[in-house]
Amino acid sequence: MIRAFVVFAALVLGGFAYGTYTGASFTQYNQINNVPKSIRNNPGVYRSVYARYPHK
Amino acid sequence: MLKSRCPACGAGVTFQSTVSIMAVCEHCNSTLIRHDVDIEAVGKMATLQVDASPLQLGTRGDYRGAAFTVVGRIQLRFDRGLWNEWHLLFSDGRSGWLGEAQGTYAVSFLTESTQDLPSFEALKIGNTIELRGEAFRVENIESARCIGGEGELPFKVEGGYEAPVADLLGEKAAFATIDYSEDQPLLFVGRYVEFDDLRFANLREFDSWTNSTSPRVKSFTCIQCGGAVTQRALMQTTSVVCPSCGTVIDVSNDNLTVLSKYAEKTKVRPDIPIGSRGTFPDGTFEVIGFMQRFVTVEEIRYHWREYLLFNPFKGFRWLSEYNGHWNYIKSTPYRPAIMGNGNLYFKEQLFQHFQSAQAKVDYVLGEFYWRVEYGESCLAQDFVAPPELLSVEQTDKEIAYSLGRYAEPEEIRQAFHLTTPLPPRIGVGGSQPSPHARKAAQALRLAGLFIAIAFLLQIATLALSQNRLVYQTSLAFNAADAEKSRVSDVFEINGRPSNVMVRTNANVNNAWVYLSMALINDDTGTAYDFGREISYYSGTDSDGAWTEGSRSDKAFLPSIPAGHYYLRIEPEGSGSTSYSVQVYRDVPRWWLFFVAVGLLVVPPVILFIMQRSFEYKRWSESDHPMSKFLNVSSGDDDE
Repeated sequence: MIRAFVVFAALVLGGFAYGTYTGASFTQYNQINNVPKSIRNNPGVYRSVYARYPHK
Repeated sequence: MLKSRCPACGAGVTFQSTVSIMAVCEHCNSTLIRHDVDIEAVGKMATLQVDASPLQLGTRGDYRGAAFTVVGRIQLRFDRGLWNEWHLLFSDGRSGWLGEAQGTYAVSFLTESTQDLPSFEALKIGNTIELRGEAFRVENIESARCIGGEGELPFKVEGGYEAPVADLLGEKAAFATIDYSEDQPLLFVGRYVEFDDLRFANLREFDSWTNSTSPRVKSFTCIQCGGAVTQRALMQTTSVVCPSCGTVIDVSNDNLTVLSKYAEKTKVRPDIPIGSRGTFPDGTFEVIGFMQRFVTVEEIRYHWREYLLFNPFKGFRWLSEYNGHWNYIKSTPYRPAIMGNGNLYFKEQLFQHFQSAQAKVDYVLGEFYWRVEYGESCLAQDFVAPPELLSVEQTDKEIAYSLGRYAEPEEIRQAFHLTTPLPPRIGVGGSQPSPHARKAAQALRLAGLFIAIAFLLQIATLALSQNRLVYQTSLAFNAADAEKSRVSDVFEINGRPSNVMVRTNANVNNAWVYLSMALINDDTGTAYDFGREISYYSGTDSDGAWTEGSRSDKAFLPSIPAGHYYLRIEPEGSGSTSYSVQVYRDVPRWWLFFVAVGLLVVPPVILFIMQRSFEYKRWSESDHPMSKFLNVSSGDDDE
């Protein structure tokens, strides 16, 4: 039991350290690769997947 | 040392101690009185009864660093059997006494009392008397009868005289005896000692204990039914039960008498047969007696069983069994301090009161060191400090304290090499050590350590994080604009892949704005797309003023690699408004720390609940059941 707790705690601390190092977050986001360079000149060419996010 | 000849038979007689005035001739049993250098024979000494004492004249030992030799003995009979007072001659010339009865030993010295001693009639069990500045409690009052003496003694002894005596007990096993057989009571003060502490040499030999000879047992015919009866612990026991008819026979002298008869028809079979020998950490013991006792609580009888164990050198031990839970018990000369709440403090340990009840004997088998009778009762009180049990049994004549230790059934089985199964364990035993207590404490300590490690990691994160503003801008949202999307300037994000915080503020009032945002890596073309709503409403109603929402928001994007980035922002809203955006790199946060702490305390909490559940079951068998599962203090719940 104690040994299992030590293993569990090691996993928790490892996860905590990794999460802290990488800045883990629950923010919902979507990663899209290779968006066109032209966005800077013409922002309208890009449509956010969150643009139709339901809101008030 | 005086060497002379016996006036009666001419055999050599030696007085080793200068304080000895009497000796018994080893050859003719004459009582010899020393007058300076002359020796007078004044008659024959009564023959001593054969007993199973491990001591003999010439036995050597050590008491608190002082060597002694046993040079004489007075043998007495008291209520529970035979009692020997061995006369000790110490190497420094002192004369002392070693009292020995039923395997208990006490060394004492004749001491001058500094005050008048109470009369024998005034003594009562439990009374406290101050002797030489030390408080002693009256534990036993007896009228013993002298059987005779042997060896050399410091005063004249004759068989048959009455010796009213009181045994008293002080702190830390201090012992005192007041002997009322003289005109002026004599006070002997000393200490209870363990057999092993006296480091004896030249002890008696016992068949089957010190050699491989078959054990010597005494057999006789039951005076009630004629069945065969066996006595194993010769002269150490005073009552023997006939295995055929259950009659308890007084064997304290040759005139066997019936003490009591068994009236019930049901026989109880001991799980450990009489005559079995078991090995425990303090020696090998033989089962010589078995009894079943009970207490009645709310008209229900609760039975338990006790086994009397015997070793000719170590004396007696007990094994008790209730619901499959065993305790290995030994009487103790130490006395506990009584706490205000009814608990006891014993040997630097708190023993909680568990149960008090009038215990009665309803079945016996084998032999016992007192005159056991069916139906005999005493007030039995149990106090527990698992795995230890302190048992207090009180009658009108004495208070007996015993210290027990919980024994696992497997330990009992192995000790006696039993092949038959022992009764299964039911519930939790009063002194049963909790398998969770140590683990719960250990887990709690470990959890503290792990939380400290997590806290140090958090502190290191706070100290080492960049927490740097890398970009900020202010923008306006006009609902009438055809193209509302905006892109920011390119800004640099550096360091390890870490989080990016995008903080937005919007000047909204009873309105909302929704920002579809993308953090785009200008070098790789990777976009991190997310949306945030900012809404703020306020007003008044019958309860007064109210607000809802916030004019600011924070979004955290994890594991953003270093590079050149810009933001694409596409707002929507219920009306035109201005808003600002700030981008921070590598912002330390606390939420993960609290999640880690929450997870780390889960195992100790589970173990704590298991521990409480165990204690709940334990105390449900006691006089103090826990009324609430999570009560920290058991024992006071019903008061």
